[in-house]
Amino acid sequence: MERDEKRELRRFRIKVGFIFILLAVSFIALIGRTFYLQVVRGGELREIADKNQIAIEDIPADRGLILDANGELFATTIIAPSIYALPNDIPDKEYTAKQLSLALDMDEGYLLGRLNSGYRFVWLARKIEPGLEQRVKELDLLGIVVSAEQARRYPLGSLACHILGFVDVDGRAVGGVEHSLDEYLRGYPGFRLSVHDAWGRSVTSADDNFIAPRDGCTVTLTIDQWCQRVVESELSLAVERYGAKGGTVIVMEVESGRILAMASLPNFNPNEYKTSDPTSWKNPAVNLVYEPGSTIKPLIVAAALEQAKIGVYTLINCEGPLQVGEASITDVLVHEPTLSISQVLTKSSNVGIARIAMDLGGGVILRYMELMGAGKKTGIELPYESAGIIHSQWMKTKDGAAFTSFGQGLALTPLQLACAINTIANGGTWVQPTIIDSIFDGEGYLDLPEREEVSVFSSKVAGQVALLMELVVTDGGGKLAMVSGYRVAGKTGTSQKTKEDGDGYEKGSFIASFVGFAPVEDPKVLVLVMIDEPTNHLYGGTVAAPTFSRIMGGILQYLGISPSITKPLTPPDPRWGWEQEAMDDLSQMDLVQLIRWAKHSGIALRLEGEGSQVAGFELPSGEKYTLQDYITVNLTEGNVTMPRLRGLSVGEAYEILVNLGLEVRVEGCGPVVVGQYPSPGGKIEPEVVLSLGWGDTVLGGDEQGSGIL
Amino acid sequence: MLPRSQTEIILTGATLFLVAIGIYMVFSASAAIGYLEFDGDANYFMKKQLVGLLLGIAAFIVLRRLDYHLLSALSPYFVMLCLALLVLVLFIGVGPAGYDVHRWLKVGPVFIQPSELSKLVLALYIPQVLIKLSKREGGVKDWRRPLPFLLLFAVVFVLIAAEPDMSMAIIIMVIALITLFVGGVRLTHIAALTMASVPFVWYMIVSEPYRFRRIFSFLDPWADPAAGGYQAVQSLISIGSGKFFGLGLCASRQKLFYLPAPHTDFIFAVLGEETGFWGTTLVVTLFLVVMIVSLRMAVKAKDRLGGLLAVSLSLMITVPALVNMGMVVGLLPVTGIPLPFISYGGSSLAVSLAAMGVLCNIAHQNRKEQLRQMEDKITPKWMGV
Repeated sequence: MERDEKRELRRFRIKVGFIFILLAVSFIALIGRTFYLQVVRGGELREIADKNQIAIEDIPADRGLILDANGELFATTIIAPSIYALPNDIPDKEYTAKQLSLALDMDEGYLLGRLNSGYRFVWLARKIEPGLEQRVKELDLLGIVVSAEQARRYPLGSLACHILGFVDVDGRAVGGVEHSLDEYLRGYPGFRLSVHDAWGRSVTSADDNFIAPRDGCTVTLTIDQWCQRVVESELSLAVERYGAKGGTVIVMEVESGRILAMASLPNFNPNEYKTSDPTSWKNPAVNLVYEPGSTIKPLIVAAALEQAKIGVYTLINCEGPLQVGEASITDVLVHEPTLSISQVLTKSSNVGIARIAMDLGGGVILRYMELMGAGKKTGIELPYESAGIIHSQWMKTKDGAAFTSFGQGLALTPLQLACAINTIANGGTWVQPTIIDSIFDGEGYLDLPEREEVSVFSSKVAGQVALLMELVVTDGGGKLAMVSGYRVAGKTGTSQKTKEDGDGYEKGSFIASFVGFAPVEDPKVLVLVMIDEPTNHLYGGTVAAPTFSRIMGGILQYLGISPSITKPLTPPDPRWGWEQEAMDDLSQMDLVQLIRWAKHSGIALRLEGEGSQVAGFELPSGEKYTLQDYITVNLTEGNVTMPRLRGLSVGEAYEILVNLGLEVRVEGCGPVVVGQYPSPGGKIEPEVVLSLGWGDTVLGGDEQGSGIL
Repeated sequence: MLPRSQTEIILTGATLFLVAIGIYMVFSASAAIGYLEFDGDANYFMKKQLVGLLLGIAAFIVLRRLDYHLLSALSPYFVMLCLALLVLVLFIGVGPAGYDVHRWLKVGPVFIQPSELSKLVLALYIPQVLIKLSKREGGVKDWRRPLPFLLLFAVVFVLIAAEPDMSMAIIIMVIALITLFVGGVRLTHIAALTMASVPFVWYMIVSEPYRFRRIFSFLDPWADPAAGGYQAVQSLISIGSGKFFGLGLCASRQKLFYLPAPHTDFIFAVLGEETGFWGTTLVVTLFLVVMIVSLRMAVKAKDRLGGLLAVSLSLMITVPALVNMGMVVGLLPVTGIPLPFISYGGSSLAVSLAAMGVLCNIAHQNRKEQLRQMEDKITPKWMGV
């Protein structure tokens, strides 16, 4: 019995030992396995976990502002609502489409098509006017979501559109400074790392792992809003008046090469780029190439003077026709057989300048042209700039020299031509044009690249040519370019348009241009006016010069440049060109347009009655208007009231008005709204005009009155 | 006052350690679920666990000083009670909402899990049966002798399997069979018994496709991480991403609904993620210590009953622990076995603490016996006469 029990106990101990070993091995295997998982494969498994749990969310940076030279807003970024649909969540697509089409004023069929497109996510309306989304929210439709997106807004509408370009609905910059300075304006997006649970809910607090976005730089342009406005309205008047296809004006500061204004037609409104013609997005000022025609002549004269081939008083045989190769060169104006250098320019003699050029030699002309930037991009901060066309081998020949001398056989962009003539204005030194005043990145101003300068002519020669060009305005074909009180130098040009294929000329299509600067004794401003295909007048002297005169006059006064001449010259007749037919368009104008038109054309308006709407007007009798005539405008009261905007900044006012769904135009310069049209309490008009100023003073308008005068 | 048993001190220390880790882990792993499902009460599960803890500590304190012979003698009554509860739970038991499952008895605010209780009761009852049988003629070697008792076990097994709680049924059976084997039942009989249950187990596995999928997807969980292998894969990601030092206390991210049942079956994965390799090693080591100490105590027990009880009770703690941790690290298929002391579940915690209480009592009595023998040796016999 005792033995049995001992055996029993031994067996028990062996069995327990067996179980012990079994369990111990299991435990060791377990530790081995955790070691393998946590230490050997830990990194790999942690990565998988991170991928599942951590999301990286982009935080968009605000696109930088674009300001004019005075700090006025050209382009800003707002948060605009966008509406998208999750079609799978929509119970009744037809009902939804109908409701949305009513709320958003969109085509029902289009919306239904989008909803039935089969995608799980579709945009219905992007970057709509703020406020509109409220109607959609009120509908409370299943599967319709309102989100916020950044949208670019251009408070001044089409003003400076070619310079600014635009940002499309997907955030890509197209054209203008938006495109060329995209890397500065864009900024850098920030990131937020967030840990989320298995259902995608974020479980991190907001500040965790947050990298703030760096907003885009604020770009200040050299463009002056006021100058730009003057230039654009003058240009559009001229294009309209001469039935032209388009036109370009460039205003440049002589010494620095800063562009004060640059406008072209046809233009577009960058806020509504979608509905505009894409061909209007091109900026002809830098990418249209055309034969400069006679405007190039002063440069040939300067080169010849510099090379001492001629003197200021040399007489040139200008007897035509001049046979060059197979072609014969003739002059447009009839003149004496022998002309002085000044007369070659004032009478724009092709024969005379060709003789000078052939004497000078094509190689020399080519060198001077190249020094002044022909065939080379100016390097202005605008995209898609053209380098122009020069045929250097041909230009070196006798034929080449002869034709180049009156601006044929080579092509320049308007900006290249402006810069070349600016060499004369700037004492013989070519300066690279620029449109950027500064780039501010939030901490400081970025260093801008040094502007290139090329010494081309001596200042003596430049001064001589400037005086010769002044004679073109006083005695020659450019009389209409005169500016009261200032000495102006300039040159007209009329070039035939080359055919699309580059072979020969388009019959009957011309480009009329005038380029000049003032004041002659110390040139400050250069203005180039180019009218593309005028139909009722042809020559630069008649088409482009009057526009030049008004722009130059306005800008010289605006810049505060003291008049050169105490006794004003006779100004050009203000009555020219205003035929009865043109007046018919007046009936289409609203009060603001009428006021603006009257201001430009120097005709007085008399406002009758109170209110903001034009009820009708009375024209003076007679075929042409005299300075004593005025137009009587009858006004009536509107009924919806306008908010009071006076004292707000332009940005604040703009936001308010955009919220009302109104279009905004801005008049004047300054940081605050000093006047408005319609006036506070007046009827709401689709277009609101704000008058800006520097303080409380109302410039030209008053709150009780009918608008801005 | 007798000097304390070293074994008892070690067992008590390991228990307290495991209980402390368990309370913290239940808090950490269940906070998010409690917050979302119980009106923002992040402590919901921990508070319920504390009820189980109080009951468990009470049981632990009582059983430490209650003679295990008495407990063993009472065990047939416990078995009867337990059978009654197991039958009752099939009719009025509750389970997770939306499933036809009956695992818990709702008694006021407390949920009792009879299957956990039966684990302890069988661990107490089987040694007593073995001793009783061995005293009869032919002992436990005769296959006819244990047959009625085996039938009883089969009933328990079927009742638990019918809840249904297959994993628990199998675990209890494994513990019971090992105890029978250690207690002297022939290996051939045990094998035959096991074979007999195979068709039933196979039927249970095949009858529920999820069981089948789980069991076979464990072989290569990454082959189908989105469906069949999802739980195993999330568990591996969780424990692996803890690396050596862990993400830090309460910093588990997998517990945020990536892991299934992070506060119960997969709590060890959360522990691995938060504390890293050193944390998992600590817990494994604590269970290892319980196993070593209690089995060593078994072979040195003062009587057979104490030895067998020590074996059955230590198996009752270590086998579920190994199965649970083995599942979490991907060595075993995914099953619903909680990790003793640590997983959320008041019944499991209370029952585990009770088992530790009995083990302590065995150690305590062994020490008393040892001291008595030492006294016998030191003191001449005649002095006692």
